[in-house]
Amino acid sequence: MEEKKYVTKEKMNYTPEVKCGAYIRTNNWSEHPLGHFNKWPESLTTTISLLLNNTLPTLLLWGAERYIFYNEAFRPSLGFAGNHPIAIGQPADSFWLATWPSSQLLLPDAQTGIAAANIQDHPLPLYRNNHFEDAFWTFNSSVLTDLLGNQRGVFITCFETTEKVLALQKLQGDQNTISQTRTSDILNTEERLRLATEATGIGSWDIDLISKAIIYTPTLMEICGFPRNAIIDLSELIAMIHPDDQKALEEAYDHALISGNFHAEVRICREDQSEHWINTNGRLLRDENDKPVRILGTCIDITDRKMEQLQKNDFIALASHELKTPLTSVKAYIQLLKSGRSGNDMNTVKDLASRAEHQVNKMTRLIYSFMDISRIESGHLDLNMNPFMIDDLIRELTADFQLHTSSHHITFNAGISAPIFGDKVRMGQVVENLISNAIKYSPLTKNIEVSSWISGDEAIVAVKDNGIGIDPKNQKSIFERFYRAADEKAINASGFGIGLYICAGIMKSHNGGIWVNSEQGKGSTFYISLPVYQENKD
Amino acid sequence: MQKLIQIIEDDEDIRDVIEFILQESEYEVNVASNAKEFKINLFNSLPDLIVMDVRLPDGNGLQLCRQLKQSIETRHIPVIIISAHATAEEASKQAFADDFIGKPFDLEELIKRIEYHLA
Repeated sequence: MEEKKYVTKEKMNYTPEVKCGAYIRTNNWSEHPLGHFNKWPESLTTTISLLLNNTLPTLLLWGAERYIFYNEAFRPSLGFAGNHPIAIGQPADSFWLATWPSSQLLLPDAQTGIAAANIQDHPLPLYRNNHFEDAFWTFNSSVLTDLLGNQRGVFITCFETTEKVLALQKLQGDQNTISQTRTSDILNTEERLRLATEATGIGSWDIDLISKAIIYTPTLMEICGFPRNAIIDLSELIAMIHPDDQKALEEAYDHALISGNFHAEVRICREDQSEHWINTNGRLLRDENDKPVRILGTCIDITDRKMEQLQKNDFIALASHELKTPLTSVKAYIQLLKSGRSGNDMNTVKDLASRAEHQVNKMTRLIYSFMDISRIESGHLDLNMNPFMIDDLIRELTADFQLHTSSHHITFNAGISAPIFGDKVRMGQVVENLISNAIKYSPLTKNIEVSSWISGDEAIVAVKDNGIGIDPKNQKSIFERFYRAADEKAINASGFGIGLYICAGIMKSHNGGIWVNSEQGKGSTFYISLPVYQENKD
Repeated sequence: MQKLIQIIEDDEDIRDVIEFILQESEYEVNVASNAKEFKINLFNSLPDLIVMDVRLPDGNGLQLCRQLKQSIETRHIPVIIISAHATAEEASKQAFADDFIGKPFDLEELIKRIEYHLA
């Protein structure tokens, strides 16, 4: 296979020889949102000087975007033995793409009133040297404000204590240093809730499995239907998960205990009674005794996509079901033809073949209906609009129906002497559907009356039958997608329940209307209306 | 250990097909239909390779690729970009993608490329 690699690591911004200070001074910052070095605010440049002169590893996260600045002492912590791609000036959420959603929870924020945080031996695994490494950190972070008191950034002095922690683990084994520290951190959680700014729509959560305390981002509250600064505890949050999904949640946790990975797609029941689907992923962390101490992760609202998926699945199930019947017939006819049981009688062969064709036509019509539904749903029902005489169209259709129907007598009283402006094919579909329904739902009576007239500036067509009628409480729902009346007589009629939905969609696109007058046991009259064509409208 | 491949593709049919063929070839697969879903997949477990469509409903595949290559945590992961537009090939190079396949693509070819980049 030909060499297809576009990029090798050397081609990226990888300059290990350049020291941090020199890089900041000499880099071309004109493309960066911060702009030219000369334009940087004094608070930033002062802090950078401080940082560069600090002997301890120091990290500065500047601005809402948290642009990263660090010093030479910090570089080894980035992995690759200190030879790192220059991340200076990159936003933190971009540099630590995978772990930032949870790491950011550790930062203090001016708005909570907590100006500083001191955390020791904190487990914060990082990706470096080509794999995820367990790492422990002690860090001291404080909020930076400018001369006016606005928060501009976070200043973090930190050092890795990984070696120390791992050595201690070997020596002591029993002492639960880490979980003790972690617990005391979490006890301050209520105070430490902060309003981190994130516009990603991803909520983050971090649970201490020992104290059961939870910290989270405002987006998580939004996802739960609360105001961004709401306060909630873990048991409340879990109680919000839909009762039918509680089991899935438990199973996800059990799986996390085994694999370390937590994943669940569940419903959350908001206070306003609405249900939202969420997708959440997380990681379970253990202490040196292998005891689970922490689980942290992210979550997003996937309600729209889930609803679409469920509707699509429903639709596919219904569609497959409806297509199976004609398909079975076609298969049977073809097998008969193949078997030769029809003999050499051409008439029989032709008969079987034309029955098969009839079924195929039926399936074709069904498939076109599906396409129409899709078009109506997405608002893309493209119409070919022209002025035409609708009475002529109705006359054609009723004559055609009468030809193929011996069970009913269809009459037409024409009364629209003016043209209407519409898509002839689509309007034909509507009238055809109404007449066909009239026939289908009046098996015992004979008369079907179609009439048309003008009322004001509207053209109206009515199709009246003396059939089974429609229960008043269903009269609105019949125009909905997939609706089929539940009563027995209606169920016996074949069909999919999409016809009236499509008619409604077509009438809507014509700026017209569709409605019904009906009495159960007596019959129904379906009406459609649309504007009369007006030439040279002012 | 099975290698984990992440697919980011919003067309369900293509997504299903790729997922199926990768699982047949004994890879573990994570699927995402947009960038947001991908980012939370990412938090869960880093993949060994990413197959990504240029067009995503909530963002730009090329931009995402650039982000992946800039992050210290993901820059090592090979990214294969798939697209129906031939012009996307040049743009993929600019975004530091490791490879590019145009649609419609040969499934065998995709597997070969994946094996190559995982080696």
